[in-house]
Amino acid sequence: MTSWDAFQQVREIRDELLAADFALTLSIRQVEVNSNLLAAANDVIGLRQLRRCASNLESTYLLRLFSTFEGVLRDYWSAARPSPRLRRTPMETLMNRIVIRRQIPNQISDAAHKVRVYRNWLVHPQAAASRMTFEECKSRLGHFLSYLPPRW
Amino acid sequence: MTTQISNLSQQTVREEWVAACERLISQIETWATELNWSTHRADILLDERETGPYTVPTVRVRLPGRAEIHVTPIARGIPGGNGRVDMESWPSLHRVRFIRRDGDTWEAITDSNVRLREPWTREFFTNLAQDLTAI
Repeated sequence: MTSWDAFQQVREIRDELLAADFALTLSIRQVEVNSNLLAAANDVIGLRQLRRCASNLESTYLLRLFSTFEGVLRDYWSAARPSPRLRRTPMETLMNRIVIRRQIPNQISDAAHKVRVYRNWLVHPQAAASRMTFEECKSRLGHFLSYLPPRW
Repeated sequence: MTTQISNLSQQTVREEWVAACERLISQIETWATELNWSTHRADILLDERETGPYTVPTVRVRLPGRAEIHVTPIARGIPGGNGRVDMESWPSLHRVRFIRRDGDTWEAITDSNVRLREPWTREFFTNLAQDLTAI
């Protein structure tokens, strides 16, 4: 994989979020004017579901963003430190190992860890986590990724 | 005859669009150099149904620190304008789209579709580049 490939994956998720947001906003506006448009959905989908989908959209895409970030880091680590065994290194540990290997500044790694904590909170809302926008998360993870080599 | 006119028109549209991109990229290079920001120009190939394949310039601008902005023409044929050029920060991937309007003016629009109603000046470019690359 190359660094360009990694950033391209992030770009694609960003643009999918924009497309989904556009489609949902348009659908909600149209259904508000003409609720018959929902007839094809057999009463399963209503305005409430569409609005709920819209309000959760950033969180949904944040999970995908973090999943992509994790995939890139695991791909990098398997190339940097090959192992005959299948690794199941926890994400926190993996990030810390890469921080040491790539000499990533504390400010950058702390910011990325906060995204990890927020992502965990979205999946299992237990411990408190700072809320962040998709844009903030994308920026923080992008800065972390920028310390990976151009190719691995 | 119709095909010749069509081809001629296609060529005119393409040349005019490439010239507009060239002016924009050159302007950015000039301002960046004045600010002591390094630049790197490259050509990319675009292929549109309206104009066929052609090359256009792109530029990467390195700001103080590690951040960059990448200015990339996207397409001439877009709805509601006469072309689109993206300005994207790296590594945060924040983006502003420049839509070319009549009279060869550029309108900046954020990804959340907010129009930045500022004239295209060196001050606007400087502020925008710094804002896009702020963490």
